Amino acid sequence: MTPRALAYLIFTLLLAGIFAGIIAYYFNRKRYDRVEAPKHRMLADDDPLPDPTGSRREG
Amino acid sequence: MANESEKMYTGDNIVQREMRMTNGTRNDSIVRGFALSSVFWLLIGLVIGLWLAAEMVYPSLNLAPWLAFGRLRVVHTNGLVYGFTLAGIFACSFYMLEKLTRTPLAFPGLAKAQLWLFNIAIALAALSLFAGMNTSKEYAELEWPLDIVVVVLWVMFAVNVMGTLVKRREKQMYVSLWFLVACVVTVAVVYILNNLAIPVSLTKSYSVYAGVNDANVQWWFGHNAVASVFTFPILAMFYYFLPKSTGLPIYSHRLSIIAFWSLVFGYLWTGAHHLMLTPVPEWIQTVALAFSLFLIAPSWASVVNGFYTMNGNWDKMKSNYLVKFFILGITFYGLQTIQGPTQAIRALSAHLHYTEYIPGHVHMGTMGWVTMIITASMYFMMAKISGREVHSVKLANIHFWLILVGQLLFTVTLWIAGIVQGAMWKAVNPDGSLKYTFLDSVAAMYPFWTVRLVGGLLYFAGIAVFAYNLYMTSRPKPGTKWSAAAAARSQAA
Repeated sequence: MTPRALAYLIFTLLLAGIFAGIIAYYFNRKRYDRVEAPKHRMLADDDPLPDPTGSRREG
Repeated sequence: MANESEKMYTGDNIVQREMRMTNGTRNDSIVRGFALSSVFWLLIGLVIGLWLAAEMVYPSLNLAPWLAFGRLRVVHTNGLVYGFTLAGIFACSFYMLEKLTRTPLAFPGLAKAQLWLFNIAIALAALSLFAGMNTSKEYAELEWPLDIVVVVLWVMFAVNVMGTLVKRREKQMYVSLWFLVACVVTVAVVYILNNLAIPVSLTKSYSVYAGVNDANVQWWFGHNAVASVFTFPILAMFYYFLPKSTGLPIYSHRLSIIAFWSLVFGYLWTGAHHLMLTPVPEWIQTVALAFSLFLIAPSWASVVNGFYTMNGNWDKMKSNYLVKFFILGITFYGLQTIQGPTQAIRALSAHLHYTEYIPGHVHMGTMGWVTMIITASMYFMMAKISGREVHSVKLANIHFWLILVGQLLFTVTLWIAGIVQGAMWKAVNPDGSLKYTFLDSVAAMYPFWTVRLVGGLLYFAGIAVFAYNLYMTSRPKPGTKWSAAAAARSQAA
């Protein structure tokens, strides 16, 4: 195997390894709640906030 | 009223800053500007598209040189990809960024400058392409001075996206933000590398690559432009605006993250599927084919995520006018991402490439997936920032049905046309001679091209309804702080 072919092989395996690592990280049961939390928080970003001026907020 | 509004802007505590963001008082004018620019370029691009469709049926409309098919076609594609879609992406990105990071834009002045420069650049781009200044590389036709402007614009956008992300007050990033980052990075890399050229005059340059390498780099760019412009940011919008408009959290955030990383890993290898059965080395074609088929999985992960989000709430398809757009949009994305990879299979590519099937495929993506999602996102955003409901739900529904029927008529007709065309090109007599001349295949296309024109007209009517409805929705609601602030600003100006 030439050094160039070896480099391609290592690069490919490295990418596959990183990809597998990402999947394992996100599908780890321990992290389930933490990984899913943003989908609930994003729904709250338009919630009405207290109006410091005391008047009712419109729009 | 103006004083009261001012009081809200000058405070520096967190609540006031939140209000400034959520009450439509500061950066919403930038979002509104990009959204209306997007609609303007959409209308221009579609008028040119209609003219092109008419030229196919009535060749005498080829009024050379300025209105010849060869020139108009690139104005159509560039106008819609860079004018309509990018402006829509900028509008939705700035809106989502502020909401998802709970942080105002890092550099609002820069975003405002970007809005002006963007519109000037698109107008100059259209003029230069009308005038025949063209690198001849598909979707990278702009000559080098405008390429530099595009890069400057992208840097302005990237600085705001990254700057806001760095300052964000929401630690965990929702999947839409990941897709925005991918869009920013990928467009920068592929656009710059593919457009490297040696200028020979102000209006002419030659690619630094040659022959097969040039073709390979070009389609590495070409396909990733599809990923970066028509996939990543549109998925970002889908993942943000579907939950926001329904109040339903996305079915699985981790599935969306896996879909994101899989797309990022897979997309960059697929460009050569545009060059099947060409002199490009066969192993590169095979790698592109393999990764194209691989991409079905992450694409459908998003489709499944969207459908499961609606699980038990399908009645919202009837009661919420926006849901139809998002669900049909993601359905077309799903169909598109089955059709695309299968077209890469050599046997099918041999039959379908260079036929009308390919524009049929592309237009399902652009007219179905991209436009459905962007227009629905704009309805949602505009209603929020103007402080009123959408001007007319009835008009939004008419818009939906017109673009759905128009798009299906357009695309299905072209698929059938492509299959007929491919079959005619390859049909042989028992002695091995060609059964049809090329002109026979052209003549056979006329009925299909006529139906395509009708589909395009229906589609344009739907978009005209959308433009009117969105404009009416975009006007500030009388009596709100937003309108008071707008009035105060215009008075000051």
